[in-house]
Amino acid sequence: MIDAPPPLPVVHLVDDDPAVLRALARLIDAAGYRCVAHPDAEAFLAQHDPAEPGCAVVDLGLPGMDGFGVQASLATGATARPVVFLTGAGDIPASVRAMKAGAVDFLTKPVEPAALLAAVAEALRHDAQTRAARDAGAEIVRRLATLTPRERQVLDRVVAGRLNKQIAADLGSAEKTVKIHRGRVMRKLGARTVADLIRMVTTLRQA
Amino acid sequence: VTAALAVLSATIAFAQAPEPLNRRFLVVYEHDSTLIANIEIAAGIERALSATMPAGREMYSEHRDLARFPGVDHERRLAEAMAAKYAELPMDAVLVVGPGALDFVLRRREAFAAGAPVVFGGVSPEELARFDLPPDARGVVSSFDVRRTVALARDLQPGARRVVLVAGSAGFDQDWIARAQQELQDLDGLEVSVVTGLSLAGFEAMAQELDLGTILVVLSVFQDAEGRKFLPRDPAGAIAAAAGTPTYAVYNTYIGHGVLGGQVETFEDLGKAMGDLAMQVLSGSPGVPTVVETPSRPMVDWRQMQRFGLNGEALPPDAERLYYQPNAWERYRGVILLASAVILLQSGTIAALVVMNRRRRRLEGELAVERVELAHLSRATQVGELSGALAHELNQPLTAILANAEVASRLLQRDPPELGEIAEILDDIAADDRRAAGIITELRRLMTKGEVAQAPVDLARLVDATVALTRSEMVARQTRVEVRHDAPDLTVSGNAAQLQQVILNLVLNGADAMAEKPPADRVLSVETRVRDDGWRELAVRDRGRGISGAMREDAFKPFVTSKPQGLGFGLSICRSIVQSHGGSLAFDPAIADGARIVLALPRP
Repeated sequence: MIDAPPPLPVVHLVDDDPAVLRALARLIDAAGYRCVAHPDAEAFLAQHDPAEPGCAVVDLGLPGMDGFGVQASLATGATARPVVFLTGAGDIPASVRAMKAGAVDFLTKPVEPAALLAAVAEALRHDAQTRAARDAGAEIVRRLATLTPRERQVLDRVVAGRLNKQIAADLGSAEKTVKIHRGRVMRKLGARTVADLIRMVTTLRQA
Repeated sequence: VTAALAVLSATIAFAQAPEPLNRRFLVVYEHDSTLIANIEIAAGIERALSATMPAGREMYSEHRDLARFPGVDHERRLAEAMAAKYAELPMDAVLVVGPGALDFVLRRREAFAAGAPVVFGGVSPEELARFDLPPDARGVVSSFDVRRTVALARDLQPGARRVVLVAGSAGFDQDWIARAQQELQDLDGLEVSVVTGLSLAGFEAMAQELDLGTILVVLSVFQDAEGRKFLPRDPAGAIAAAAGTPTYAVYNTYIGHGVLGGQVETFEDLGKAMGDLAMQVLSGSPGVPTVVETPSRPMVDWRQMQRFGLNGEALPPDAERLYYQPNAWERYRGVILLASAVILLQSGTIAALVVMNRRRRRLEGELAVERVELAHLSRATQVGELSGALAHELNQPLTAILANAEVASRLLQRDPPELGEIAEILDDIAADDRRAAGIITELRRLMTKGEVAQAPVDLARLVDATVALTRSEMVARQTRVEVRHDAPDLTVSGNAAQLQQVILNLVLNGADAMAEKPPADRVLSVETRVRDDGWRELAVRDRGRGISGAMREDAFKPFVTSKPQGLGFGLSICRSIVQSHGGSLAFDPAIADGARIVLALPRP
């Protein structure tokens, strides 16, 4: 609220119990987040925008589509939105299943406000991190697109750890020409060292 | 048949044959044939003769009728008639009753019973003294036994110390005094006194003063001091009626007219003694006595015994009890025994029935307790199965409360505190708290044990509360529950916990039935209404597989279940609960798509 610039992350709250929905929404709001309350899974998914940063707090036992259904739907989108599960009965099989599916946390009602807020903070941090990583990868891809075929060939071989002399021999060009290409790649990709260069490519490969 | 006829004709031929051993007896009575005394004597004679001589007797009887025909002419004509009558019938013995008859026979017997021995009776020793008896005449003399009469009186009045003898003023009466005194002269512990020379009124007044310490014996009163003459039994009866103590006499004729009793002879005994004597004579045995005494026996008038409250057990065993009214036990012994047996049997039966009834009631009581226990156990099991859902149900308000409290606390720290929102939050907290309390109340009701009291219950409210309890469970089962109430008043008389258990069962059963259906099809309808006849009805309709015709009734039997984990008690208990409420629980046979179970309860 205080620092405005990036879009404020949204905490989506899904619970079929109106009293719980109201109280938890209040709590999340009071903690400085923007909380959007949904009475059921269908209502939430209908207005869900994957691009919007944020997380979801979902009650496992929902009429209609249940919490696991919500989690599965969120996972199929371009961005996996972190989910914090709430449950009335803390049964272990359900919690294991939830965590395996990537849930950030699995909280048993009545949930301690501090625990819920901590889980929300963790989920948001996770979301922000994911989004940052994804943004970084996109930038690298954009910059890689500016490389010429020759510069790309040089980059691949630098990342593979070959020396300038070896690259020149591989490509049938002068070692001096290889150095020029290598300098352009570094500039285009914004890398100051070879290590930066390697980290970027690795990030891409991981994504 | 032929053989039988032959035997019969042989018997007849034998009977018709002359019987050489036939004995002829002639009985001559002093008085006429209608006297009771004569009839009794005849009976006694018959008894004696038939005992030793069952057949071959010929009995003839004649009545001198001396009192009405005393004349000598009559006696002669009678003798002639008898002579003609018995000319062809030689007599073996002549039995003679009374001194007048004895006189007649002894003088005239040659004409009609020549050579036949004489056996007489009904003659007193004094009378006998007048006769000069031939050697073939024997008889029975009457002896009036004062001594044994007093002995009988002593048996009945053991405390008596005095004997009062009453005698009239006639010569016969006076003769009695000396004879009686002689008979009683050596009695131990008894003082004997004589009362004589009084008028009848005087005798009565004297007798009235006596008590049980005195034995009163009326000897005879043919005439009193005023010269009045009596039939002796009449003054005896008058004295006895006035007396303060029992009156005894030696004449059996007195007994029955107020005299209590005495040692007396009876005419039948006299006749029997005569018959016995005659048989002895005919048997030719030597040493047959000339004179025997008439057997006598104690005789009492039972009415007089009761009048003086005397103990009948004190009587000698051979005592004859006239007018004996056996007591209820003696008279109705058989009936009493039978009745007692019947009563005993009845009592036994009743006792057995009472015991069985008690046992049945106790068993019923135990059954009721067990049903309550079972119902409770089943409720507890159900609640246990639902515990996850119920915990969730309870956790909802708790979650809200916790979150709201946290928010309120944060808002309070702000400057200025957002009091408006805090007030709103506090309202929410209170509402959530009430909700939690409501759930706990319902839970407690379900878990309550042993409470079978009935009270007015709103069936619709009960349905709502129960469906609310299952909300989380139904969410977990992806089952939608639709509740519809069609009547404003659905009051029934019942036990809320038990009815709630039934509703819970029906709702969960319905949900179970739809477990295999896709979630979208899992819809359970719960409807209440008032029927035209006033009964309250609750119908739970599911869209499951339905229930087959045979299973519709079997489902209510214990241990019958379609569920792999079920014990099969649910519907059985439900029906038992509903029946104990006077209601019914059954599947609607008209439903083919799914199942519809209908609970009906009477108007309270």
